[in-house]
Amino acid sequence: MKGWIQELPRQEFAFQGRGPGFSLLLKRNCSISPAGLMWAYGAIAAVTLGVAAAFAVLGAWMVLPFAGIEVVALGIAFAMNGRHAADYERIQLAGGRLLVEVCESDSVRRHEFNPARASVMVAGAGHGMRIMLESPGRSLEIGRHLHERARLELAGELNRRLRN
Amino acid sequence: MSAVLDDHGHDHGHDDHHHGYSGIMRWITTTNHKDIGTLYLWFSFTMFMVGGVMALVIRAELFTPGLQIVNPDFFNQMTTMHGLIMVFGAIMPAFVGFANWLIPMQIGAPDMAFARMNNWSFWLLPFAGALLIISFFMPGGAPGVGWTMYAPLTVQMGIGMDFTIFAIHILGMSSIMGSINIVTTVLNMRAPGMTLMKMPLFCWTWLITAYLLIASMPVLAGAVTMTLTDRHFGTSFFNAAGGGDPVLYQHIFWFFGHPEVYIIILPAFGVISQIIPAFSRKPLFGYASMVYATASIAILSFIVWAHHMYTVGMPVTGQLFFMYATTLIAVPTAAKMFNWLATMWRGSLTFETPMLFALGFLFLFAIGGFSGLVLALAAVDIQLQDTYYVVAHFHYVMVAGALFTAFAGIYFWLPKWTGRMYNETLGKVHFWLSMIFFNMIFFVQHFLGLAGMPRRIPDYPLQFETWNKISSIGAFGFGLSQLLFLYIVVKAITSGEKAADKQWEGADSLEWTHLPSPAPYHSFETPPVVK
Ligand code: HEM
Ligand SMILES: [Cu+2]
Repeated sequence: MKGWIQELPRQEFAFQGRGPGFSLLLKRNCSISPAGLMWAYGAIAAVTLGVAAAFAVLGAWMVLPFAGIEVVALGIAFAMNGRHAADYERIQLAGGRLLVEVCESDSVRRHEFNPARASVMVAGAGHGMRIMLESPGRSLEIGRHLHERARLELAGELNRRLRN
Repeated sequence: MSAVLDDHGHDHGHDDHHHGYSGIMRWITTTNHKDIGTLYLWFSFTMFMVGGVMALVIRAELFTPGLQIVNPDFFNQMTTMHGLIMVFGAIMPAFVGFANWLIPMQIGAPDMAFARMNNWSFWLLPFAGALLIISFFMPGGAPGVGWTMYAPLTVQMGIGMDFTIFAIHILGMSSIMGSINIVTTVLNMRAPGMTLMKMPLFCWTWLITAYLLIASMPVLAGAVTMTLTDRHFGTSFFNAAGGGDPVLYQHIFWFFGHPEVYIIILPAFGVISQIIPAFSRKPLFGYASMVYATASIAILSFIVWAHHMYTVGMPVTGQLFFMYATTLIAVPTAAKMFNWLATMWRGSLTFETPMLFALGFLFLFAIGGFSGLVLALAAVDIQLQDTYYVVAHFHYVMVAGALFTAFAGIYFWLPKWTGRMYNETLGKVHFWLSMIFFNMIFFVQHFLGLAGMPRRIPDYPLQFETWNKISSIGAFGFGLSQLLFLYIVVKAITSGEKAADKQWEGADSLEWTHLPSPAPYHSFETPPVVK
């Protein structure tokens, strides 16, 4: 298993694009596809409920309620985890417009800012610190999928790029 | 000088842990996977001591023929609680402790998927443990039914039985929550690039074990609940007096019970698969075949249960089926053995304590596997069923298999967990004492079983005296040797030498290659990229 592991990249966000414009995609780290998760769930649910049903046929029906509760609990856990699996934030600067696209559960919202008047502010410190994209009269939290340290880096980098 | 530095390190670590609480409240409220892993391991060790004392009561009584120390009823309570406490209180929590500590670090995740639920899964355990122990103080004492809790005896027991049933429910809940957490974490929280087939084998064995737990725990919960309703609510699932079927209970119990033995041993296989390559300084031989072998064992474990029931009466075709199915399990198990040996082949081996315990495991687990094959043969098992031969068999797989592996794992990861090294000489002494005394206790039990000594009896004919004496002396030696283990661990934690970040040259999973020793309280909040 040697040789698989590369050095850690210092940044966990990478700006795409050259010149004045850029595009940045921030998402949660999620290592299984929704379909994969469904398979993993379907297989175990089928086995567990199948076994319980077989026992019920033999007269030992009390396995069934436990199996049911458990399969539901696993389903809730997977759903809670999966609901936000596809969440992302996309921050784009193109054609003189700053676009922020926020995808959460199943809604996608788009926000447009004037790059000349937008800047990134840091709210709070340490644990629970947040960064906000602000322009007069508006503010939007960004970088929610990043760890605090990376949020700070992102705030700095974005501000630098917005100034240019 | 070093003391000053250490103090500083400690202070810093302490600040890091605070999050509002300190002292005992920190441990009660913690949702950190490392804290919870530590709690599991200490709980497991405590239960190991409690169950161990019960074993010593059993062995003291069996030192000579006749009834000396305890009455037969109490003797039965001891065997029952010894079994339940060791299986559910000591071995299973030990490996869940390993899972908590290691899985997030090995897959590059910051914590378990459901950190708060993780806290609950642990804190259920002390309640279950307490219920088991309180049952001794109930009228009629703890149940004396054997850890298998066969009906109809369970229907006739005192109120202690109900305590035990509730304890099993709680333990089951804890296991299920733990499994849900592990499955979600392994599937969903792997670092970018950490594909399933790149995971350290320990994570694979736990993923499969968690599946086994999810599939088999409702069966156990159902079995004990039906026992409960037979006792108090007038049902007759198993109560023959009301038209129930006691043999049905055995089918249900072993349908859970055989997967359960693999729930115990698969994570141990995972630990061994980390340790042997590290001390052979070679990658694990046949990684993919290890994964497939683990999965095949898990699947087969659901179709062999009636090898525990050859003597209750079943058609010959049934006996044949379960006999062939059981012997089939030896194939993937042997593939694993082969892979471990091939990993060591031409490796540059060194024999530090973790490796010694891993080799002890290989040697002794092979013996346990072979005695299992012997028992799998229906014609032979009809002679040996419920004799000391069975007791010898399952202690070879559970003590030399699972417990030795837990020791190996603790010595292996202690430097990573605590940042300090244990005393290598004392570790080796612990290994050799355990090895010698273990065989002294259990090897001779094969002879007793072959000669016809039944298990679960407080008294025996004179002919069995010699081997029983040897076995009992071994038991006290083994028990005392484990105090040495406690000393070694406490000594390492309080004043061990500073451990290197990569204490073992050949170790190559993320916790060794990417994290300092001790591993920081928060690790991999930014996932590493695995190529
Ligand atoms: C090669 C693999 C194995 C085979 C072929 C095998 C076979 C058997 C058989 C046939 C019995 C029933 C004996 C009887 O009651 O007459 C038995 C009992 C038992 N085995 Fe195994 N076994 C294997 C591995 C394991 C493992 C890995 C464990 C646990 C870690 C285990 C734990 C037990 C226990 C606890 C019992 C006794 C249950 C009781 O009656 O209280 N076995 N085994
Ligand atoms: Cu079995």
